[in-house]
Amino acid sequence: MHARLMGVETEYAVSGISLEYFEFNPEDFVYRIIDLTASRHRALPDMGEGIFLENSSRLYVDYGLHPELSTPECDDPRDLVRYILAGEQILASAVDQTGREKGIEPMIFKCNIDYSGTNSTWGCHESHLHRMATMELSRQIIPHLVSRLIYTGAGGFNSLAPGVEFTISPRTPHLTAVTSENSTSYRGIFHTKDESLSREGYHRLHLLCGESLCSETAMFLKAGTTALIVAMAEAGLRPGEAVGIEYPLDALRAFSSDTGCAKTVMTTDGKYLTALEIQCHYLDLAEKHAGESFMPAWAEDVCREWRRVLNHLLDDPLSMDTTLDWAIKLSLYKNHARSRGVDWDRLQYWNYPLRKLNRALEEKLHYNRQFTVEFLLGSDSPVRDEVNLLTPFLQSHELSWDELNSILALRQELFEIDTRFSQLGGKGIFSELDRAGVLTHHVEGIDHIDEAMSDPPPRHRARVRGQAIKRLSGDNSRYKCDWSGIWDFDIERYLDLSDPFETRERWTAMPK
Amino acid sequence: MRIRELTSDDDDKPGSPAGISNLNRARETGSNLIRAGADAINRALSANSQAFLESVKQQGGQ
Repeated sequence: MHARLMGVETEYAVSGISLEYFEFNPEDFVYRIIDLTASRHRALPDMGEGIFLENSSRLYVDYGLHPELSTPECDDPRDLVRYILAGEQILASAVDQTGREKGIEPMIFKCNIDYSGTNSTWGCHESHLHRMATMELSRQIIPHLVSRLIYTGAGGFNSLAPGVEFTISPRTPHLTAVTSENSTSYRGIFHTKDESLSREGYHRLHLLCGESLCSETAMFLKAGTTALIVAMAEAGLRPGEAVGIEYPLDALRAFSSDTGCAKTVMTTDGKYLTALEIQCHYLDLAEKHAGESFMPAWAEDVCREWRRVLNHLLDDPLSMDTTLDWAIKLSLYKNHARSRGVDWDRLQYWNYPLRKLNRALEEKLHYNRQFTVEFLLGSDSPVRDEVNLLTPFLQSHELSWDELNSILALRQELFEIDTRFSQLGGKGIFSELDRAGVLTHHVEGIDHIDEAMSDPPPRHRARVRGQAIKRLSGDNSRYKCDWSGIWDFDIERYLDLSDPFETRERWTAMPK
Repeated sequence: MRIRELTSDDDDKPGSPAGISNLNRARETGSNLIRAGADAINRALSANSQAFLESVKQQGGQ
């Protein structure tokens, strides 16, 4: 069987409530998290201001002053989830301790979307090692990336919309191209960056269309299904050929907005398919080839779980409301709206007038999303004509402008709940539900998280790197580490890890 | 293309004793989720959601 290497890097949001006279300083806070982690675990400095840990993962401060964690290279999606969870325990513990030191109540989230109005996001990037031409891979995998969101979607809200627009995949509104080489703007479904971090002959599929997740089932399937499709594409099976999508961005938005998973999109040969049908196509092929030598040993395990989840989604998507992130959230958010006296379906009717008003305000005032009923209905309202035009629409749906302030307050509450859903350190809503035993998201074999906090994966260069870090840690001015090697500046030698499947610690002369 | 493949879950047909038992279990699970979710949300929500969202503002990010 063929090993497939994969990894995930996740950006985390941090915040703190100042206690007594202390003030939350994000820069101090984030760098202290790194220092503290380096003092609690055996680690070596990376080439910047981050560290590689003894479990072979990397922790660093990313652009925008947030901590970012990269898992080690794993050859099994269960290991990958294990290292995501282990990294989060390391991070949450360091955040807690940093908060105590600095007199603040700290918080850390993997929340994907910034709802404060900046239109920013936090990324969760996936890497898959492969050996084929990047653009050919894009053709084979884009239909998968567009349709997999029915189980990989984090759930949340369209932060670019003025209303309350629930979306299966909240990153979708921030993707504006089918393929792109950019990562901070004009982001694509398929990211063309191909920095292998390995020796010649290897490529790295680097995906930034996905989201950070809480459900083990969703994380396991996100990594496992994508790796299987890369394996089939690399073997020349052309898995996406029969389900090429004519307008991938439109399809992504259609699938993301459809919690019933019933919308169809047009394929390049004129068929109309649902996301489930596209996923079933890929799964049929993966099941057919699961035992072949180019597939990994865990292919059948992934196919079994993939089939189970697709069957449930086919029967009733909301039957996944204790398993998949987006479906859990949808149930909770509907109930929260109800608890505030707002029916979820009636809430959706507000999206049309709010979009119209927002557009009118943008035209009149260039930009202004903060509006109240008093401002809108007052005699000085710049959008008075629009208000009058929309009033019959409201009346026809038994809505009233008097409700608008409470609708906007509910919107802010839902955004806060969505952010707090994924808070780390046992304080998040998802963690509470998990402890209460009301979720069914665990995957057999994702265990031994404590061991993964200190031990590297059992195979390949991640193991060699982790074992070397364990031994060399403590002399941080002497060594530097990156994904493809460790530099020893004292005796000018170099541990070459450019072969991602390296099994031994081989030191060579330092490269010039 | 196989859209639907029978699994052992499908032995519990709607209307059969096992099917009804599964339906009841699903209803119970759903109401447990809603109850636990409402409790967790009430504990998590701050008094000022706007201020909370401002405090978690992203400076950069991908």
